[in-house]
Amino acid sequence: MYLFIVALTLLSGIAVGWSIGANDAANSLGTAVGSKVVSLRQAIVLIMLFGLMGALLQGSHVVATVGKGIVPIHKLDRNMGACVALVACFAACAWVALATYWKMPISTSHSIVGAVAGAGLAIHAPVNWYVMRDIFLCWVCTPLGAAIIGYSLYRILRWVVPKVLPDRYSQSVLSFLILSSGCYVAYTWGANDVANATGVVAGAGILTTDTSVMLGALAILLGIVTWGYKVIETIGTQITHLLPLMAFAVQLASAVNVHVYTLCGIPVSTSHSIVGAIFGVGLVRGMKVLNMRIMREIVVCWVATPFVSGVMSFVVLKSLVLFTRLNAIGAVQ
Amino acid sequence: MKEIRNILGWMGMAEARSILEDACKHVDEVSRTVMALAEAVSAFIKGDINGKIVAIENVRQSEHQADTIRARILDQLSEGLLLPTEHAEWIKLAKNIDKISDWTNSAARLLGFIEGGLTENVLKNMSRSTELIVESVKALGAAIQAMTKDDFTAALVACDNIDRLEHEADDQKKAMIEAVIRAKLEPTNLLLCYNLAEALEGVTDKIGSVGDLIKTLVIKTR
Repeated sequence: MYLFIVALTLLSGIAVGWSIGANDAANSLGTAVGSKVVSLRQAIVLIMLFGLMGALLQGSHVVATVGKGIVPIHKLDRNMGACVALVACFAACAWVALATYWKMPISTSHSIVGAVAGAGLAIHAPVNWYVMRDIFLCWVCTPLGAAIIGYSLYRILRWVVPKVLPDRYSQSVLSFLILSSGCYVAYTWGANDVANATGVVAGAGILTTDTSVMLGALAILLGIVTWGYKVIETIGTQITHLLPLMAFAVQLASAVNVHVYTLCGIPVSTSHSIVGAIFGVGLVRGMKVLNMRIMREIVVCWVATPFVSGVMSFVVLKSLVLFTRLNAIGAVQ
Repeated sequence: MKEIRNILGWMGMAEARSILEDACKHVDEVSRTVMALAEAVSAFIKGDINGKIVAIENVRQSEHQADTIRARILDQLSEGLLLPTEHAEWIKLAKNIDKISDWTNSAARLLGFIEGGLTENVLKNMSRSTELIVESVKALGAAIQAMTKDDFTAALVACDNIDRLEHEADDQKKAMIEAVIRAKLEPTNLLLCYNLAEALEGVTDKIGSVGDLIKTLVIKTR
């Protein structure tokens, strides 16, 4: 039975990782592909390389928070820990799939955090509300921070670059800057998002932190090669229309922002960060960057996600406890 | 693209949805232009000069409104850092929808110069040509409404209907020109009626172009 739960948990984690790879890889080098700084194939290789590096080198910070910080899954008995991990992964995965079907822009970070807390509440495990409060605050600060950094950075760059960069070098220097900042985005994305896929797997002691990070990273890579390339191409060639300097400012602002939270071990949405940075950079040019109606829909989805995935995991785990022999009371050792 | 969960992709699709809603309003305004032309033609056939003048003025005002909507859509499509998917097609769509009202206005202007003296056969053909325009614009409204509801099959059926009406309008133009020539009209009326036949067919032609663009968008986005 334990092995069956473990297998299902790993599959759900891999599914979440696949979804992250398929959808969010485009946030890093999509613009570089669109501006033909790199080919699609080169972009995929770079995203995979830097995403993997980020996950392996700094992914463990956020894995610790998702796996042990919100609910001490490692302190539950083995079966219950595995069940919490399974239900949290399953609820996060199910909500991501439903949201994709309903065309809602949701964040996997929000989904997994809500799902872990919901599962903890279902078995009366101690949910660390201080950590939850910090995470919620960081979620609010993520787009705002990225917007402020993006705005400031672009203002400075717009003033400095024409003065210090001779015209004949501008093309190649800007291409290099776009490419390197895109790789930085991929790195921070891998470091922060790998925990969404397999953080709870490590928390439940199913795999060690390093192994779970490796598994999550591989699932993300699978998402990139099987589906992500289409998204990268569409985002780069059809949707984002950024001038090279803007693209650099957006990418750098978003990456710095996510990196700070990653070092603090906070799972944040890399999507929030990129949208915030685009907003900030657009503001410098006085552009009507975001349609208010669209913004409202995004905010509603972002706010609803942790609650919906939390309720889903709460209901599923509560039902499991009620209808099986799982002993919730006293499960915390 | 509909399977996308990427935030930038989603925002591109949301922009496209917003443009589609505006395109719907644009088509509504264009339909009003066409209906006003139909009223003008009907008043002319009945000999109601005042009714014709009022309806032609309505065509002009409605065409102006349609121009305003087109300008708004083009503004929305050109500003911003995130653009809708199939950006080029949306621009073509806005421009082509507007051409329908431009051609309708041209037809109304020509009608305004005709003071009478046409034969029964010419009037009958003029009426039939206008009916075809009205049917076409109704089919166009159905196509774009179906698109907003993601009912791609209904949108394609409506586009096929537009296609059929366009062919019918081609034949109708030929019939009207034949009637104009046989009517042995005085030179001014001959010239005006000939150009009116061209303009009326031009309206269905422009509706046909919009139908083709809707087909392209449906095929690319479904």
